[in-house]
Amino acid sequence: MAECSEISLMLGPFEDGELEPHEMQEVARHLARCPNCENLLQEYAAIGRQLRSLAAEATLPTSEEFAMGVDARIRKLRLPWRERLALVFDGWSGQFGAALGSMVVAASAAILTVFLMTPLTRNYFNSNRQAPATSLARVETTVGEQPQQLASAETPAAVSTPGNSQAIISRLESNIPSVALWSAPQDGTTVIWLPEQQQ
Amino acid sequence: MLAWRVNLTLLAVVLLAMAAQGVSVAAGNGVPARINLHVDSVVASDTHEGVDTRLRGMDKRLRSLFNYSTYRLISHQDGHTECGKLISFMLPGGRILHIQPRAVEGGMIAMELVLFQGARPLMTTDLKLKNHGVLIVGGPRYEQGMLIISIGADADNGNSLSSVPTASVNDH
Ligand SMILES: [Zn+2]
Repeated sequence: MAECSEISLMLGPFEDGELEPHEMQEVARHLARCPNCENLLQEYAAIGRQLRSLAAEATLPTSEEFAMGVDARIRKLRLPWRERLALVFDGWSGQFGAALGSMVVAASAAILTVFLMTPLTRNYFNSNRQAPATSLARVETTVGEQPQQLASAETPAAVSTPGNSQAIISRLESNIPSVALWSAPQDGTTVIWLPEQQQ
Repeated sequence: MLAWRVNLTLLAVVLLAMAAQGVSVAAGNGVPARINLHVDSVVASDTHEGVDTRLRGMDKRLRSLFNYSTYRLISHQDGHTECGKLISFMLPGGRILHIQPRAVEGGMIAMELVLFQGARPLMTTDLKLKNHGVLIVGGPRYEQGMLIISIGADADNGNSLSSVPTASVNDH
């Protein structure tokens, strides 16, 4: 059985349902046997409730007020020179017509081509392509881990309680994230423990 | 001619199915097993008041499973049903327990068990419980402690089987 000091560190994330499935079970199982930690959990839950009610009371701006505020701040921002130049070109193209507009497009295309051909820029693009590749690999790893987590989350359901157990459980479903299941070694009494948590 | 043959085949299938059902009833002596259920609702807390004297039979089991200093019996209920018939027990704090035995085989009673908090299911489980065995479901809070529900079941081929599942309640 885990020590109270270890468990007490996990109570906050436990209350929020943020632990790994096996940790949720470990804490739930400890709580079933330990009134001290159970009391501590109730204190955490009470603090959580107070915080939520405080957050609910706090006045937040309406979405229109928020949008107007963002608009006003954007208008105050100094424009970078490139965008100012673009605005000037826009004005010109309005004045001098489509011919000048197409010249600007051609010039931009030429500059872009030169930029792409430079080895330096090729490196720049390569390094930029690699960055998402690694983050993609990380996503794949996470996806790869998920079935394992699910499998352990379903463990209580799959456990055919061992040896001298009085009950064999073939299915156990609950939306409580930390259901614990164990059998007493003495007489094989099977226990299903459903810690009450905020959903 | 073909229609006749199809009809005869269908008749044969129906007769076979009826015969099989008759055999299965005979195997169980024609009397469905009566399932007796015993549900004790206990509240466990840490107020150092010891174990309720009415829990004498459960005393050792509770102490071996949990570490609370007080165990108080809230209610004891006995119910009788049979395989396929659901029986429900009202538990403290607006919880409801549904038990539906499915079969009795090899000294085990297969059953489905659903625990509700009001209309919301808290847990659903399929299990096989040893004849005269006990399952404990606990965890929901009640008053100043935790609710522990002890569910005992035994099967017999009683002849005094009532047609409707019944539950008698002893509230303490
Ligand atoms: Zn503890």
